[in-house]
Amino acid sequence: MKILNEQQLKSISDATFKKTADIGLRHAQENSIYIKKTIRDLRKEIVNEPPKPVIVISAGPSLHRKKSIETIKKADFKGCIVAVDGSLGHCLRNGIVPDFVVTVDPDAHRIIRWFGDPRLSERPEDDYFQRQDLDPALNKDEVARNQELIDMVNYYGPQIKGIVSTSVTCEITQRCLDAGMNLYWWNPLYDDYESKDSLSKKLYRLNKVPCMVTGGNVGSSAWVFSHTILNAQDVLLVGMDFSYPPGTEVRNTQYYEILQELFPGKPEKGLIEVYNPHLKETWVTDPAYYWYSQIFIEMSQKSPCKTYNCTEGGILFGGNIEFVNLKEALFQVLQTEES
Amino acid sequence: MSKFLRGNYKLTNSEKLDHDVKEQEVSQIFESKALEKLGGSIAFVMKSSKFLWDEDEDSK
Repeated sequence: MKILNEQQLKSISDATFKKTADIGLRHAQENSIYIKKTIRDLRKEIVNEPPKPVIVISAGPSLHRKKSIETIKKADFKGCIVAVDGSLGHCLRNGIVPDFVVTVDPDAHRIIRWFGDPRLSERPEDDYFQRQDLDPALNKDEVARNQELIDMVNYYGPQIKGIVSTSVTCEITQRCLDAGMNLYWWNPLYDDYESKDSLSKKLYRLNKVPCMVTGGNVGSSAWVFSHTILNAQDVLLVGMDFSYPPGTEVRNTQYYEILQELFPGKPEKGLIEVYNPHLKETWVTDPAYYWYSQIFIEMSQKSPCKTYNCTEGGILFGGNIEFVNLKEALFQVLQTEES
Repeated sequence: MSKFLRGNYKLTNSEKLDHDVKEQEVSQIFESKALEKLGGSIAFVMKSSKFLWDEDEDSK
């Protein structure tokens, strides 16, 4: 497949709205009994604190390939760590307890795995985790790894603030509460709140929870959270590949099942190649991830923060994003703090 | 075609099938339909440079 044009990107945008809006609204109604604090309250809690740099830890393949966590641990980083749900286990297993964990995906069965799934044996059969390079620890001895994750999340939960979208299932909510997390809620911004039949406006009036731009996925949401709520002026990204390394087989990509359906016998036809001039490598992505990368580039040009993409892999470059080595970015940010 | 057919008629250019163009159009239509089925994790929209909408706070 070729790089997508504007119309094709809009198709994915419309498809995502159709896929997520109704279920998101239903989950918001179910979650309403749990909503005590929102990201508005968090903003007020930290209003007198000077803004700190933030590292957003996303869950792309480079997080493991480039051992980003090791680099962060060795640096004298005094800012905030914001993890996406998919990287929480990797962080905890490797000695980093994030300050915040962000979750937004309304999926009923898969997302809870990132928090340790107390009902793993009851889930529908699913090779989603084993097929992909999401977190290598999940590929072996699933049951034991899951229990280990439950225990770690329960142990460290009280130290982690959950930045929870109203779109997630109540199971996620309950899991975070059982782990002792303090939760701060947000609504995804689904549509134009000024339009007559706006779902976002309806949702806001239902629960009075602020609506935040998502960028289409949890990694982008975590970046928005970092500069909008935490007021970070410098945001470093790791694990934000939005793609798969050169040589990845289509079977090992996230949307493999859909690509098989759409391109029977030739699912690889749904993949897109993107050359990264910083890496001098061609990475492979699928239409949804390509859409994420284009949205992010557009958002970076409107954001007040400096964004350093320290993933050292992937296809997120351009716009107002500095594609830079993690050690170098940490050094730059530290220098800025000291001066 | 005229290389292989012999007879007392001639094929006009307007009747000649351009297989490459047809195939490209079909491929584009199929890709568009395929993209309608794909979707991201959560909806995305943004108005101007606003990352957060909090109606009650904004009106204060």
